[in-house]
Amino acid sequence: MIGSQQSVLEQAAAECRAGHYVEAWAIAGSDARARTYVRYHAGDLEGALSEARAAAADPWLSSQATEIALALHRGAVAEASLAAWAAAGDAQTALAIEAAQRDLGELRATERAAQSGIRRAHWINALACALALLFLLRCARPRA
Amino acid sequence: MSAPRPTRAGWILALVFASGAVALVLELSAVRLLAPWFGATSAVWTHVIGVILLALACGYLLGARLARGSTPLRSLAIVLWLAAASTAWLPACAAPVARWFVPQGLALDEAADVLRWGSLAAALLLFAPPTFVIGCVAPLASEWLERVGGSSAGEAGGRVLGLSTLGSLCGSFATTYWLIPELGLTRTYLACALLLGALALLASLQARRAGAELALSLVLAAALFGSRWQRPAPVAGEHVLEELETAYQSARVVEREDGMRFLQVNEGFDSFQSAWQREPGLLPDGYYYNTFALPAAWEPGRTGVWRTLVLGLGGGSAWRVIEGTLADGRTLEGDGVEIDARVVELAERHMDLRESPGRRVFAGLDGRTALAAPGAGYDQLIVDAYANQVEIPPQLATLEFFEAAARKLRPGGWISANVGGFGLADPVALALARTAARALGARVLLLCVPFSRNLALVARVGEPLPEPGSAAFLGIAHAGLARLASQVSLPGTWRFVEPDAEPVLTDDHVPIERLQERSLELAAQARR
Repeated sequence: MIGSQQSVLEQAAAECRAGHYVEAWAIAGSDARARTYVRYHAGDLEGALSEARAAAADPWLSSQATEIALALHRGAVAEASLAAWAAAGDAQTALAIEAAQRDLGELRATERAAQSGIRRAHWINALACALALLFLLRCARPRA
Repeated sequence: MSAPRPTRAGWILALVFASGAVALVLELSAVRLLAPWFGATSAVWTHVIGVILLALACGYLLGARLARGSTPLRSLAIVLWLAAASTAWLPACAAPVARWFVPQGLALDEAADVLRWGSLAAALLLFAPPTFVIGCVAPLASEWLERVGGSSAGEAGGRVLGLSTLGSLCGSFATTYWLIPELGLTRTYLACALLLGALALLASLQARRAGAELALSLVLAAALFGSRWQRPAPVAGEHVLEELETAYQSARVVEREDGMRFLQVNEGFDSFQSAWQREPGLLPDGYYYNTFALPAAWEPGRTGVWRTLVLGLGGGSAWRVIEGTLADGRTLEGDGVEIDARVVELAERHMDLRESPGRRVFAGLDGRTALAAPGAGYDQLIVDAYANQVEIPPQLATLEFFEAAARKLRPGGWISANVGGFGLADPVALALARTAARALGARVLLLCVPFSRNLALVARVGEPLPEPGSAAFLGIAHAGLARLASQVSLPGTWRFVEPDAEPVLTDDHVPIERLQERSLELAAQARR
C-alpha cells in the first residue's frame, strides 16, 4: 500500500512496529487515535490514558482508555470510559465490553476491600488507644 | 518472711533474663512477620516498636497490681503460660490478620493508607497480647524477690531490670545473627514459646498450683504442633525454586512458566529485586535494568573493557543486561556490591551470578562503604539499592554520596540509578535528581521506564548528556536499545533536572521517608 493511502494511525502503527516511536509520534500529529496508539505502544501508559480521555466521544478511544485504566488500576476512570464505550458500542464489541465489565468488577471489589481494610484498621487503632488510655489512667490512680 | 536464699533467687532471675530476651526477639522479628503484606519500612518499624512499648508499659502496670496479691508466684506462672501460648500462635495468625487489612492484588500506589494504618492495627492485634503479659513478669519477679528472697525493693528492682535488659541484649543479637537466619520465623517463635512454657512450668511447680495452667499448657501444645507461618503464595503461573530467611529479609527465587526467574524479598506488593532470563541481554519491556545498558551504547567509539561498579547487585541483572548488549569486541568487567550475602548465594544457585577474573562480587558490604574502598576509573556506576522494598537507603541518596560516586568514575563516566516513583514530578525522584545535579555541577536526566512505574536517573561526569530525540541519543547500533531510546524520547517521558539553589539531600538532612510518603500520597490523589 502506498504511504499516502494509509491512515495516520496505520502509518504511525507501522513506525511503532519498526521501533521508531519518535517518527511515529511525528506522524501522529494531532490525530488522537494515533497519539494514543503511539504512547501506549511506547510504554507511556499514563500519557496514552490522557490522550484517549481527551477525545472521549470516540468509541475506539473509549475502549483504549478502559483497557489502559484497568491496567493502571484506575477504577473510577475505567468506569467512566467503559460507560462511554458501552453507550456507543455495537454487537461486534459486546464481548469485549463484557470482559472489561468483569475486570472492572474485580478491580472495584479490590478497591472496596482496601477501603474496608482501612476502616477496620482505624477502628482497631482507635479502640486500642482508648483501652490503653483507660487502663493507664486506672493504674495510675493511687492505691486505696 | 523467710531469710534470703540465693539458690531460690537464681531461677527467678534466669526467668527474668529469658523473658527479657523473648521480648526483644518478638520486637525484632515482628517486622519480618508483617513484611510480606506491609513492607518493612521505617513506618512499620515505628508502629511495631510503638505497640510493643505501649504493651510493655501496660504490662508493667498490670504486673504491679498483680504483685499486691497474695500469690505473686502463681500470677507469674499464669502470665508466663499466657505469653507462651500467645507467642506460639503468632506464626499461624499473621497471614489471616494481615489479609484482613490488605486485600490481594493491591498495587503499591493503592496501598498508602493500608500500609500506614493496617500495619499499626496488625501490630496491635498480633504483638500487643504477648508483650503485654511479658511486661507483667518484671514487677511480679521483683515482688517475689522482695518477699521470699529477702531483697529490698530497690535491690530486687535493680536486679530484675539489670537481668531483663541483659536478656534483651542477648535476644537482639541472637535474633539477627542466629535465630532467624538459622531457624526461620516459625521455629524462632515456637522456640520462644517453648522457652516461656518451660519457665511457666517451673513457676507452676514452685507455686504448687495447676488449674488455668493446665488449659493454657494445652493451648501451647496445640500451637507447637499446628502453628505455621504462611508466606504469601507466588502468583498464578509461578513456582518457588528456593526460599530462605536472611539477616535482612525473607528472600526467595520464583520461576515463571516462560522460564523467567525473579528474586523477591519479603514478597510484598508488586516488587522484585532481580530478574533473570536464560540468555543475557535486554529483558522484556517494563524492566528498568534495560536502561542501565544505554550509556555504553551512547559511546560507540569506546572499545575494550566497560568497567562498572554496581551498588545493589542483587541477582546480577544489571550485569547480564549490559553483557548481552555490548558490541562485539567489548567486554564487561567490574565490581558488584550487595549488602545481603545470602541473596548472592541464592543468585549463584539460580541466576548464574558468577565471579570471574574481571568481575568481583562484594557480599555483605553496604554501597556507601564500598565507595570508600580503593579503586576508581569506572565507566559506569549503577545504583540499584532499595531497602525494605520501597525505600531508597538514605546514605545512597545524598550530596556527599553523589560526590563520592563521581570520584569513582573516569572523566565522562556515567551514573545510572533506579528510582521508584510516580511520574516525572515525583518528589523522591526530583529530590534525588536535584541532589545528583548539584553534586556533579551538571544537569541530569530522568527517564520514565516504559511499561513501568520506575524512573531511571542518568548523569555524567564532566561531559554533556545526550538529549532525548537527538541523533546522539537515538543513534544506537543495538536494535533493542535503539527501540528503548526511541520509546523514552517521546515528549512527557523525560526531563532534565538542572543544578539549582533548591534544597538538596545531605548526610545531615535526608528526609527520604517524608518524601516517599508524599510520593505515595500524590500517587493516590492522581488515582481519584
